[in-house]
Amino acid sequence: MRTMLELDQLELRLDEQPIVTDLALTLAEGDIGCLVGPSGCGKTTLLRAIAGFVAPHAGTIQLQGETVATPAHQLAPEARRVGMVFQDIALFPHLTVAENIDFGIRRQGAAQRRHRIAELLQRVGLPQMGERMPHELSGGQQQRVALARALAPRPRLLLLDEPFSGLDAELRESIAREVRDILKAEGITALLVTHDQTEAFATADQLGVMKQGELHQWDTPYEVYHRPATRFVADFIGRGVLLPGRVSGIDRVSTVLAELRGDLPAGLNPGDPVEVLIRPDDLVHDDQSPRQGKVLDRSFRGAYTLYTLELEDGARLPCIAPSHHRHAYGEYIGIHLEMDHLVVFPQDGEDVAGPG
Amino acid sequence: MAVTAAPAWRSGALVALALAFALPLLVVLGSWLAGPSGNWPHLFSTVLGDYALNSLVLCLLTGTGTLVVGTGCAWLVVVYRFPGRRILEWALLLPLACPAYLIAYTWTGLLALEGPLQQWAPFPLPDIRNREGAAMMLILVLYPYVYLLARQAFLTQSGTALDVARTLGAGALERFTRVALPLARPAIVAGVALVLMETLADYGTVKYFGVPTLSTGIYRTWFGLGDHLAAAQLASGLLFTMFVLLWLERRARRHRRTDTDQKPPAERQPLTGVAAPAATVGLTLPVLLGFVLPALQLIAWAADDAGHLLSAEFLELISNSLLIASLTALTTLAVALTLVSSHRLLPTGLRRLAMRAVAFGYAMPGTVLAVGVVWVLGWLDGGLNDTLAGLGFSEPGLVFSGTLFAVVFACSIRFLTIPAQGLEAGFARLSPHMDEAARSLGGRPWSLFRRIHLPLLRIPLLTSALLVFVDTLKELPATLVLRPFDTNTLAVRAFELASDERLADAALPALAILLAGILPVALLARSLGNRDDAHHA
Repeated sequence: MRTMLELDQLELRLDEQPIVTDLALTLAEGDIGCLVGPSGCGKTTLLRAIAGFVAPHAGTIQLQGETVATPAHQLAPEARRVGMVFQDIALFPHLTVAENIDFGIRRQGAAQRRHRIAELLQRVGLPQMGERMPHELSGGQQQRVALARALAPRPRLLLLDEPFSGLDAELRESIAREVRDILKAEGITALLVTHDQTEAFATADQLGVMKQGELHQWDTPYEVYHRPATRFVADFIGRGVLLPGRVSGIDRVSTVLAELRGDLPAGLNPGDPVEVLIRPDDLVHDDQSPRQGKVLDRSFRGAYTLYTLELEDGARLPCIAPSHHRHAYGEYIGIHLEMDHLVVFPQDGEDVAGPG
Repeated sequence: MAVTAAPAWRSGALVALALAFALPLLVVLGSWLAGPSGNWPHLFSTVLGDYALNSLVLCLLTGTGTLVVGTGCAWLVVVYRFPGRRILEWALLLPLACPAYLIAYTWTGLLALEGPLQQWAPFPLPDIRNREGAAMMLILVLYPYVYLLARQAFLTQSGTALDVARTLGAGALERFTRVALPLARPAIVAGVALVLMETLADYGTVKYFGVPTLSTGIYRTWFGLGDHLAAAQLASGLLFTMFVLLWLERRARRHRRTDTDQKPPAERQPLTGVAAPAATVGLTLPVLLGFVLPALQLIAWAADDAGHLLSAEFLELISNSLLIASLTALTTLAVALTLVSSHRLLPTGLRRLAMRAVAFGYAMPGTVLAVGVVWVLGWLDGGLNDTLAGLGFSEPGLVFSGTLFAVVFACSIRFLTIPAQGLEAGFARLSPHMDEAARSLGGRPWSLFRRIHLPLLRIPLLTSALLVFVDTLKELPATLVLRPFDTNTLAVRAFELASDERLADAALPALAILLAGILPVALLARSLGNRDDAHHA
């Protein structure tokens, strides 16, 4: 597939403060990329730079192989054909829904515009709403109009800045899925920014995790979850704990739970202290297992129950058990590890994981 | 709420007070009850068409001019970066310091055959003493009304709306015409409505340039024709136009969108190439023409005349002006405080009516106001003299209409709305819980007012006092008509001397007015700065 967006050695500054440092990523045509990270990690600034509102301090931004921004020269936002859906939605309050969508396609023929507006209203599920004013719409509806407005001129790339943050928590995931379907139907390449990983998992083909201006990992959601590149990614994405262990062979680590086998990062020698990432779904509740943990905490989640267990040496682990397995606090329950790959970080704090 | 009912006499006194201030207005409107004046056919066939046409054309020209200059300057200042922007942002307010009649006669001097500009100009400079010239003068001093409101509107527009427009391919001009301008329209309409009210109320400029308008027509009908009824009825026509404008302005204000999102406006874009110096020059022009050049000319004239600075005549002008302005400031402050803090004494509907009547005062042009006040005070004096004579006392003379009382009364009516609005806003910021807390601690209403409200309202009190003081100092037409015989003020004397073609002699009082006028502009400029800081915070 052809590359739509390519960032290379990008450095962004605001008021001389470095916001994004040495960032590189590529996004293929038709893919939906998603950047997650805590607030203040530079995600929004990155989007604004791609849209053309922030000039790079170093590095380049390329769209379809065309360089649109270098420190010396930037293509103006209005000439980039990069659409953007802003966090605060920002519909034009003086225009109707249809006029909002029409804003970016005014130079096209009247019939063509009418057709496009009708098509988009249909696509975002608001076919009868064209004549409404923005303040007459609910938050979710406004969000969809903003999306339709940004899609109307068929931009090369669509940027979405925390698009669901203004919506109710229950709505978020369903709208995120809906937006993914709309984007896929339009065949558009999109880059989305969020601090909510549920949204990210619901929408992304490619997932990036940012912290303090650095991109820690850029990969498929599956890889990011199961093979986090850094301790921060392991911690930020999904639940889990880092269980201390010791390298006991060239492909094995011994922990209180079991001796685990798998590929280790280079440079580790037998005897080195390490930490192993344990996800709740790696630890399976098994009444037959001789290895047991004491129930410290229990959190009923409907379809399953999330237990926090304490092992003999005091280590605490999360464990998912079927919903109907009810155990009391203080009770010992059997567990066993079911890991198809090993995520190991050296204990001296070096922030690199094994290839898995 | 267990609030003791106010004694009826206090509510009655309040209503009477509000009524007294509304009386001149009612008299002007009520003049039709006496039937139309016999002079109407004569007025119709001779001057009325001219009055109306000139007023209309003045409004069209001034309205358009201030719209373009005010909105244009506001847009450039808010959206772009160019050399001098920060200074121009507040300097553009300076022409507000200059009453139109002052700038009119100063420019006449600047452009005169023997004036400083004609010596350098290779071509004959235009004569501005006509209708179009009057419109120019009004534009130069009134555009800041539009500038202020438009600037505020552009600043509070969501910066994202403009960013969205850019991502949708809209260039700079398109962003202005399709997004910023429609969003700022209510504010701009409100600004232009204020400009038109000032234009219709203007007396000095059009009188000096010899352009007959409705405003000067009232004066002429009263004094030239001697027909007081026709003057009042003519005034009611002007007043009606003012009401329409006032309604328009109110409506526009109500329609101003309160942007819910608090996103700061987009970062200012630097202008490049010739655009940057062009913006600097373009925005310096209104300041130069509306303030700097006239001020320099006044200073030059006044310097030649500096010997008169301590003359008895000039000192008397100053003391008269200060006396009238201070009395007016005190009166309006006292009345406004009484009205505004009356929320426990008057039913809400009645109180709102009183506040609205107060606001109408500002819409009354000086000449209209003078007609109403002369009428009301004339009755009062007549009644007083007749009563006292009937009781066997000697007649006291014209104690109301023949003294400073008349001027102070008229100016108080015109400017009462300034402290009323200022204090209303000030009171609105005070939490009612504070009152309740103080009363539960045993504070009585008067001590509550003295110990809590007064200190907390210090700033709006001082600000509105200053504004009324300076506005009274600048006021011309009402003072001209109502001042006691042989009592001159700075404004009246400057106008008289200028009308007698003694331009240089008029400079000293004119400069005094200008200097006073700078004070409220400085206050305003400072508040611009504060708001800006708040935005960056």
